[in-house]
Amino acid sequence: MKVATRQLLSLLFAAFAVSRTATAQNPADAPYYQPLNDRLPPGYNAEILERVRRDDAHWLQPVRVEVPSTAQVSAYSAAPEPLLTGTAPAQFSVATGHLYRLRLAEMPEFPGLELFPSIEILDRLHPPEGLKENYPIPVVFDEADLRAAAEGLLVTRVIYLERPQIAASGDPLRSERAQTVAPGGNAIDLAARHGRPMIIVRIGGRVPSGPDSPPLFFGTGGPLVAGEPVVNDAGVARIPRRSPNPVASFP
Amino acid sequence: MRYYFLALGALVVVCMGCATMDGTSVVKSSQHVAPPAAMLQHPGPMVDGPGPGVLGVLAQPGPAMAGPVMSTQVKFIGQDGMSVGWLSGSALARNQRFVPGRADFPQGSIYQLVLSNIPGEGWEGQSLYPTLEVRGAHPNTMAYLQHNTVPLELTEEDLEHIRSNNMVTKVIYLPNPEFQARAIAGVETLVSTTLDPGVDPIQQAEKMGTVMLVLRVGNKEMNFEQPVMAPQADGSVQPVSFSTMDGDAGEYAPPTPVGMLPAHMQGVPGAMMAATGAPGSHMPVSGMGPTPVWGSPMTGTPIGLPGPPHLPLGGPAGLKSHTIRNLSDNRMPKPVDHMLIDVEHDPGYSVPEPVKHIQYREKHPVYEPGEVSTPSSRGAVFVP
Repeated sequence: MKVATRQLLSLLFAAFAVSRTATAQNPADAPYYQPLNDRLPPGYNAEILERVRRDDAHWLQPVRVEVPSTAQVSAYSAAPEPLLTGTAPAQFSVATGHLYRLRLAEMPEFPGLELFPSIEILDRLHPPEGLKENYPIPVVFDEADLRAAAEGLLVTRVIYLERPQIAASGDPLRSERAQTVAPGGNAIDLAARHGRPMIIVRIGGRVPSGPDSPPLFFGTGGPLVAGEPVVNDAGVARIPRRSPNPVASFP
Repeated sequence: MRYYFLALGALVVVCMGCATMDGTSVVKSSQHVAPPAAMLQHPGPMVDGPGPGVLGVLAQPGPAMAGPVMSTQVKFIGQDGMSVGWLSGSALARNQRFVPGRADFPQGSIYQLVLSNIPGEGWEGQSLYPTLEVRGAHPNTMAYLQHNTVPLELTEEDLEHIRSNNMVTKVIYLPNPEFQARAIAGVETLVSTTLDPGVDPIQQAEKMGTVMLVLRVGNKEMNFEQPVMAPQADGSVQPVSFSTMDGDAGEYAPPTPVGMLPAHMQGVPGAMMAATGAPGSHMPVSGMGPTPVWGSPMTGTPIGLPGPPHLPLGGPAGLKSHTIRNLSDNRMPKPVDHMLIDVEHDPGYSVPEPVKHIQYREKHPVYEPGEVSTPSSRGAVFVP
């Protein structure tokens, strides 16, 4: 075999080996399989995760609903009558693996408009014992989303908890890293790459047709308990750097 | 040199990979593919029941799946003040909604609408009688239909076409992701009058997305004061006398279908194969359910008695022979002896190898006295 041929084959083998090694060394570039998808029928993702995880059914995750200014917030669970009604920011506790329907009304930015978004609870937080009410998952509706829903569009948001290794300073549930996925993209996949998907929020313009509306329109029947809103601060503190002189790092 | 070109050619072939020329998807070997939403609930196309091990957890009994909302909410827009009515059983319910207004229609059916009080010159006292086809929810459209109304607009241009004896077909569909400009889902409308002659708007819409509504409207006048031959939900046509209800007088009635859509237009085709124990699967057992009893005669005997003809019922059998000859020159194909159905996902599932080795190591931070971190909102103060 000629020398040139040997060199070419050696190059080919080396390129193959390097590509395999690079894939193995960088987990972010590794092939990633995400069977969940935000385009699945509402409630399906939460139910799959619930079957896999088998979370404690008695543990309820606090959720805090926020709007641009003020609004009346109602929460439903598989019944046309709301289980609670309050003023935003409203806080209540829900179970993972379930779908709940909300009602937003009396918003000064949208006179006469009422919207019925849904929240699909995928996962829970693990706060310190006895302090779970202080760490609700914020469900923030911004004005652009509400306007798009009023115009007949379906807005889907995936709220995720950032990985602590890549979380910026501040509340890891409130920073927006990826605002919009590409058409056809999987929002849950993207969220899972940055952290832990917690809630899928879907906002549209459909309203219930009255007392004859099917119960499933209002959710899958999970428990729902009212709570008191807490101060708008999840309370993230920075761990001080280890320094030979701690006094100097904290003036 | 010859070996050099041989190796170079091999390299080119390897680099080109397994790209196909027939238009099917090309997936790298390192790329994994999840099936589309419509198929994630099934182990395979047209195959139902518990799937392979990776999906085994889904086959376990658990809480009820979130079922679809079986009605589509339609928002009538376009001609402000126009009233919308519909057939409700044997009643013609007029003025049930006014544009802009919304109404719920159970899915998988066809409805007879009545449009009255149409604004514009020349429409005084006239009504239009379109039909509205409400398709069943598809997994691709389920989230949209549960959260959004489907806009149905009748424009000035549509009315002009109707006045000119043209039939207008409007197809409202949810585009597939590749036909969406952005990730926020919104509907699109195809109108027959804007397409080239011979182009079916429904087929065109099905190429680009999932059809949710089909409105067909012409200028045919229907007189519901006289008994008319009306199609029934079971497909038959019978004379029906209609009463009239008026929403202006507080008489409201929900729309009822005048026709049902066939099963193949109800979303994903049903399963042809189902493993044992799958929810809703049917195992054919002789004599159970719709399966007939094995060996039972399916037709009457030629001598007017029920049962097999060779059994004498109460008397000696006199009939020795009974022959019917069919002399028709029929040309029928031979029956199929081996059936083969090919189903295919494109691209097919591509799932990584299961985990077989886990290394777990915890690294615990060590702090000196005074380096305690507490949530700042709880009033904590870092003490140096």
